[in-house]
Amino acid sequence: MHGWGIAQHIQQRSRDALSVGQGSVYPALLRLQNRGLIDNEWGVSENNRRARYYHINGLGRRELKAKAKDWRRYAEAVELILSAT
Amino acid sequence: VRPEVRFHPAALLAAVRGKWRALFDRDGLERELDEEMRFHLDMEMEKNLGAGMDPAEARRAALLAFGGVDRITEAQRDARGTRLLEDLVADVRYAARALAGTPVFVAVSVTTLATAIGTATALFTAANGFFYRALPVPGGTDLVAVFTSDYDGRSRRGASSYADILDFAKEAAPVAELAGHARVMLGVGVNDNMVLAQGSIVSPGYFRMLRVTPAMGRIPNAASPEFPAIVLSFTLWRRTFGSDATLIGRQVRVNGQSFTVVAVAPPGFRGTSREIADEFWIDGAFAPLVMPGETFMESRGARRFDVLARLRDGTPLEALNTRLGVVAFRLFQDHPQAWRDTTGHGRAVTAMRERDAHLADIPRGGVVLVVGGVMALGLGLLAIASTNLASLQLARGAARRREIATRLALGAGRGRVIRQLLAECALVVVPGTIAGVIVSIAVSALVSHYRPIPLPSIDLALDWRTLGFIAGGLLLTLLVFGLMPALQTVRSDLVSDLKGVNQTGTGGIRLGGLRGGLIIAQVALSVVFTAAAGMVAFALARDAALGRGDARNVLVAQVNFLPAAGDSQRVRALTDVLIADIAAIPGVGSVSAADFIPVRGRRRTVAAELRGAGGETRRLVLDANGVQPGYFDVVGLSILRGRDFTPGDARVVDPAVIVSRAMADALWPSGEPIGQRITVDARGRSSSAEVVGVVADPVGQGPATAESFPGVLFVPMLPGAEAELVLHVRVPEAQSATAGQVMQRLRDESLRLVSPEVMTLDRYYERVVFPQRLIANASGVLAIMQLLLAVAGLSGLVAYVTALRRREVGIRVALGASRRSVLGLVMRQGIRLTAVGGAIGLALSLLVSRVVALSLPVTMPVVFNALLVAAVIFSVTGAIAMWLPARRALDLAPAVALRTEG
Repeated sequence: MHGWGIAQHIQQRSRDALSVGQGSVYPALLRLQNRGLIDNEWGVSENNRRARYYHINGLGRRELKAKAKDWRRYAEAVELILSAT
Repeated sequence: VRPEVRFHPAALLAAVRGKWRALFDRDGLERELDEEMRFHLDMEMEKNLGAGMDPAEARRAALLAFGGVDRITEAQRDARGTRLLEDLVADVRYAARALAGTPVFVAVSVTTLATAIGTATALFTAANGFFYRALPVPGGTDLVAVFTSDYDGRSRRGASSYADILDFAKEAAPVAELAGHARVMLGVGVNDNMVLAQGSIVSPGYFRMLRVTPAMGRIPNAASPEFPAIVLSFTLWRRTFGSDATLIGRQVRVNGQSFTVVAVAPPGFRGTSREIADEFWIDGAFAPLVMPGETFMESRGARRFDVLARLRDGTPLEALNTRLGVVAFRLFQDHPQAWRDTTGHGRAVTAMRERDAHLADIPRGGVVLVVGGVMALGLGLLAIASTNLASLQLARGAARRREIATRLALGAGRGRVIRQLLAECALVVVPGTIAGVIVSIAVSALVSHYRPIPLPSIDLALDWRTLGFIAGGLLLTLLVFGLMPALQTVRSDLVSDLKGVNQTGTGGIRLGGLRGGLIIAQVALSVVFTAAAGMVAFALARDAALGRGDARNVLVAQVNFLPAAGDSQRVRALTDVLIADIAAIPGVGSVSAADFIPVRGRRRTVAAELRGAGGETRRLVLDANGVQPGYFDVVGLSILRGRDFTPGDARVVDPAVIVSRAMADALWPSGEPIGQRITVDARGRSSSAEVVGVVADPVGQGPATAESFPGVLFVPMLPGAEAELVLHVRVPEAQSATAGQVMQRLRDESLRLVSPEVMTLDRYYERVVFPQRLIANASGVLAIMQLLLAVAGLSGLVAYVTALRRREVGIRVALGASRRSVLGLVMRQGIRLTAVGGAIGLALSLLVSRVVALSLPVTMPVVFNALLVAAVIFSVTGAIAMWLPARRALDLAPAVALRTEG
């Protein structure tokens, strides 16, 4: 998926809750790239233009799984605390 | 990111690739980022158009959603994680450009730093090697030193006897290898090529214990030495035997006896004493051959050997100490005479780590003092160099106020500007340090290779302490030379700097204490170095001018008699034959001999007693020399009263003595010295001597310090008693042919004596003052460097003041101010700082004169002349240095000066 697609995806899936600055995805992608969690390559987009495509790799998938688990545990804990009050 | 992911090879690879591109393919990255963002905006615009917006609105909405292109670009650059490095590269690039414009500044700075760091490192290396490092042999840190306690039981660290060492070694064998060495001075060489060399008698197993592998040959099996063998040091092999590769297995003479050369030690091995270098080693079994009559090899009471041991693997030091305790007890039982100390107890034998033992010998305070002193000297040198550079840097900073103010106004943080100034310093300091370290390594390599002076066994290789010292010095330099001026430069008034106007006000220009202090320090140092160089030079010149005219016509040859020369009777006969033979050489005037050559810094004294008129006794310590008849004639001292010695005067009982005029005047101020009697303690007995003559005062004798008695006492020389003398030969003029003939005659006796060199007395004096001459030259070079730096500082200061006061000068000139008042205005501060610095420098020079006076006769006129010269040199150069930039103020047309406001 290219940067714009990722930004759109985030926006839609979060029901516009996370639409602050589409441009912010690029520094974030660069950081993930430099950590070896995603790869990229230049390709041709749906409207026939040169675009950079990003895709997650094995290392990234493992990290995602772990991070997602961490996040869920954290969110659950916060939810538990909030619902107790 | 969790560590197992962060350090995953793929992650590391990605990180390296990212940083690599960020540093070396910045343009490519920027291009890609640009393209990616354009694509993003186009997609978003298309989406907005599809939603029914008009093109302008669609574009605006896309940009809005993106969140600021510049902000994202910056964030993207930050995300590369190489921001600091990129800035650094930019700083260095910019600094290099700035420095390229001032090659003189760079050259002066790098040279100053290299000199200072080189000298400081060399000093530190020497002190470090001497005090803190193990002996430079394989596994030197494992060596332990073994001591027999002293005769009074007070000091535990005494030497041991040869016979005892053999017992120690036997007892210690299961836990340690043990061997000892004793220093001796012997004549070594082949045929007429003999030298007097310092070496050691060693006990069996010495080399095996040290694990020294010879550079050539083989150390024979220590247990059963079959023939007299000698191991030569690398230096002796090269110097005396011309690096002859076929020497192994050949015979050389040692004190006249034939020895076989079995090995040449590796270049780095100089024996196991840190103070004195060994040139050869001989097994103790053969010591009696070269030193007949000496008893120290058999007598258990003669303790002349230093003992070292190497513990066997894993053996604790206590195990060795226990065994040594046992052997000490047994030796006390078997040899109570030699082993009882004055308290009545048996002596103790103890072992301790060699390195600690070495330090323990010197009082703790002493070590701290010496090492601290050396460190302070080294760091002081660095500090001086850095201070000078800092001052130059400040002057540059002043000249660049506008440039810096502009950068600050454009939004550069002060930290950023400081970093850039520091980068400029680093560009000077780092090459300077590297050059300095290379200089010091090269010097120490040259010194260890050629050994112009016999350096003892100390480790001069770089170690972590030296590296730490260099790093510390570098840091100090950067701080003083870089940070201080940088801080002062950026702490400026932005608005006025930008306008190029400085309020000069009624209070004048504030220079900042730092800058003023630096200039004062520089002027003071410059004056001190000039004065010191002057003092040494003047003192040397005065010394040389003092009646040394005769010295060119006198040849001297140091002669040391070998045991083969026989007892004192035969030595005396040999001396007479030599003197007669040399006198017979064509071109030789007269020949005589003396105990030694009196020259500054070397003296011999005798204790004497003088009975006064009232019967009271005065005890005196007098400078003395033993001479043969004819000595005064040879060296050109005229006999003022009485007579010269005759051969009959050379008797132990009731000898005759001759005094020099100053001593005669001091001892018998009113009265006839001839025929007076004085009791002289010489050679262990005191005898009443009769004064038979008075001669002129010799020049160049001993340091005439306040406490020493004036003049010289001459006694008849008794050859053989000390087995060394100096032949004095008078020749019409310094003819090398005559010197060669004298040398040849001496070499004919190479079995019985060693005489390394025949030279003129003049040359001998020159050689003696060589260190002082070196100091004078070094001080002169330093003086010139200091002068240059001080001049640069002063002229920078005046240029700075002139620039700041342009407007004021313009107004004054327009109002009709005189040239003098204008010059005074811009030079006032420089002159004031010069005066203060000069006064401090002159005061310090007086202190320095005390130090110089320790080795040279520094009289009041010498000091006065040196100070005068320093003051004149500095005033003249300083005035020119200040006048040149100040002149610019005079040439200024008022209209131009008044206009300078933008």
